[in-house]
Amino acid sequence: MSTRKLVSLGLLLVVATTLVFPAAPAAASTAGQKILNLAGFASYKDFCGLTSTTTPVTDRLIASTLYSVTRDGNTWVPDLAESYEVEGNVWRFHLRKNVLWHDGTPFTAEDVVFTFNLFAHPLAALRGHVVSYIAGYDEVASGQAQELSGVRALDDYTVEIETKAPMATFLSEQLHIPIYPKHRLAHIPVDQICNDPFWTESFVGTGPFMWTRYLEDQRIELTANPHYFRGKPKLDGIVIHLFANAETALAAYAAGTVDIVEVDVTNLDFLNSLANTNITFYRTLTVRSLAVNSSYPEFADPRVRQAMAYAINREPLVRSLFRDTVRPAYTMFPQEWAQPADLNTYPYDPQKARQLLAEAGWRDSQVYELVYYYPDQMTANAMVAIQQMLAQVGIRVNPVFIDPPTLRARINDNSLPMFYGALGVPTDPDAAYTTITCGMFPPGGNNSTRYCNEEVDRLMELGRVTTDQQARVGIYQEVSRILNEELHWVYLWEPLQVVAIRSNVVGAENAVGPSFLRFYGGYENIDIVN
Amino acid sequence: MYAFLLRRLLMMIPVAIGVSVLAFLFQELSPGDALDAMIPPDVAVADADLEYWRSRLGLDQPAPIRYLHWMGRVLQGDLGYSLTSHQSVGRMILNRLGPTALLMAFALLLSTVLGIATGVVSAVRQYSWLDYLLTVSAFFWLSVPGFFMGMLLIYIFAVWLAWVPPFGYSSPGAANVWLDRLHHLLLPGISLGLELTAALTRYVRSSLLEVLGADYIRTARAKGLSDVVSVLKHGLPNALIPVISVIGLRLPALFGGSVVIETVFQWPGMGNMLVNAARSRDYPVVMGVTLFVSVMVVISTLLTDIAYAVADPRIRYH
Repeated sequence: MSTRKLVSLGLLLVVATTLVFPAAPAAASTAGQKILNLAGFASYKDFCGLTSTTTPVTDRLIASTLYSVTRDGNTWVPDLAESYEVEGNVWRFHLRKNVLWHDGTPFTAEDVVFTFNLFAHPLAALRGHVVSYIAGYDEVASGQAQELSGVRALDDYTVEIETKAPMATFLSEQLHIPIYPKHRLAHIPVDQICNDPFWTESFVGTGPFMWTRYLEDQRIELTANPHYFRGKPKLDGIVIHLFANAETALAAYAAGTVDIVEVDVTNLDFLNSLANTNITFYRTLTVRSLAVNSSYPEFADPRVRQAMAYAINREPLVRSLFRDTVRPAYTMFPQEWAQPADLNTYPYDPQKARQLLAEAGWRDSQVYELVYYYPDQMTANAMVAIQQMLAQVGIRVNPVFIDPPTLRARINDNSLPMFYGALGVPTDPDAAYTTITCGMFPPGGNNSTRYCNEEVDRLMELGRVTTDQQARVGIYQEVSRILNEELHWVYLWEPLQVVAIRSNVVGAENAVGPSFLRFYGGYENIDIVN
Repeated sequence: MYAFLLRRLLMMIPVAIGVSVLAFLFQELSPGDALDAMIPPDVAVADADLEYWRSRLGLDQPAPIRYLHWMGRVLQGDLGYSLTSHQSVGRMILNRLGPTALLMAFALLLSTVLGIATGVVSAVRQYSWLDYLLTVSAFFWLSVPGFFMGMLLIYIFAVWLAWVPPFGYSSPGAANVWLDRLHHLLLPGISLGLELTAALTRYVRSSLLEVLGADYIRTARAKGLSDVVSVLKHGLPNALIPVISVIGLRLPALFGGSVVIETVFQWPGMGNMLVNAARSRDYPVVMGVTLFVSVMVVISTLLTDIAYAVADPRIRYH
């Protein structure tokens, strides 16, 4: 017995002595190096494993695209290409000549041709943006050709890309294609490319930071690329810590282990109480809405959806619940140029809502599921508020939380009356094409509410092939008017993301932005000062 | 004894099959599959590409065929491949075994030592203020959910006091790897350990109270032995016999607790992997972990029974 006692005592002593040791220092000061610690919210996935939240972030840091865009989706920024010109449906890109891959190999037009061809494979399909708009894609997809005829290297530093038709949105589309190194990937049989250790062990890109180490479920460690074509980054490295839940990430920020964290607005007061913290916001470029299923007979009449819009009193929600971190929205498109001034703002009017419901022959009999899948507390609170507001006009809903795979399965079998969701429309209204046109019903398309209006289809097709921006403004403003009238979704608001940045981190304000967008964040200019 | 051992080992086969069928069934009952989980909600994937992926992942096969296929591979010692990371499930489990075993061993050790110590104090000083304090705190730890306790400990010890790191398994560039690991282990280990300690305290207390009233303790005291000697030497060993089974049967509770704790503390173990796999409908991983854990539980139950026989000569297995 006494031995056991001794062991226990010894163990307690060990525990007690370790408790008084100081905690491991924050990485920012590790061995005098400037290391920025970021919080990532998903496991890293490879090329085939697709768009997790973290993939575009690592892609932005490690890889580059032909052209990039600012985080508001408004201004194009030359990336691997210095300039381009368009003639009809041919885009000619002039590439930078001073770019090296992280392993020292020069970057050339061949890499661009290789990457576009790689994306023509169905393995890339889960990224949701295959290169089906490029000339020769159908031949490759049907097996008649090995390579896309529409992607050609004219010389080492000039690439020509021919689309099937004139295309206004090519720059937006190529944002989804980070250029990968041909010399590291070309020898791997395509169907084995997903399993290749390249993606997790020896990722090579042209971006400001180089892949150094990936510890599953823990972190991704990146080192500054001294040969980055925009100049050597001021930081020595970046560590992306991977979190399974937002609460731990926030605690890690408060404890000083991560330097930048994106948080739910419910934590705004807590953030304000922390020293050395700058709070900043960015536009998420997604309009959160009540997606009401038009194929349910009781919701088919637009007047029912209009009644819902009139019944929801946004003002107190925006002010008290969201604390002004959302922008009210009245159309699908976050782009100001696609929003005409005369959109109906559906001011709170329960009387009018009841009247519209009566006209539409609404019967208050059933309780409908109001499904949501954002796990934050703010969304749950908003759902309860909306439930009460809709009940006041006689629409009874019951908020139910489900996870994304359940949402997709239920959208596919058309068993969702309505859900609270959003669509990212980052650079151009054309991104909504797969969500609002008649030919895009699930599972092959993303028109989850089965909305169909042939005039919208016609305008969306026209917008794609019209290259004159003034004409496009007219087209998409007209689509906005129709959507605002018919409420394909009941548009509510565009959230602003709350971000906490430690005050000794400078130059990072423009480096935080929508997670699904490969924007240029000026990562090479971020610095840690004392 | 050997016949008993053999019988118990053979029992593992139907248990493993039963567990795997149940695990598979629950997976099948949840809506959506791995492909649905892979595609972000706002992304559209063309029908042809969906078909390509479904057949690539084997999701186009009917559920019973997929189960039999999986079982066939398991019989050949192959747990299959993850649908989302394409890695071998066996290797994934091996990679996460270390962190989970470390966490569970720490928690088990901590809870055993603390549980016995507090149980003894509670029993010996029955109805004293100390007993009430320990009883109240035991009920407190028992009733507070693990994730809440985890967050509370993070805010107190990592955010306010800054004694330990708030999450993770290691710090980048740490000088002493083992010291760094111990540092990271403290919070999750204590969170998980305290949950189990509370239950053990109650067991030890009641078991010891029963023993302390026994005739041989009265005899020991009558012989002139001190309270300490009579309790620790004569009372405790007898009181601990039923407690052995309580400790031995902690494994399922430990694993269940570590699933939550690993997620809260971002501890890269099997529990964290299981949660991610369940979220992404990665059934080979869920099945692999479930099978592995159920076999471990059966083995630990067996070891408990053996330990029971060793500790108590009155018990013989046939």
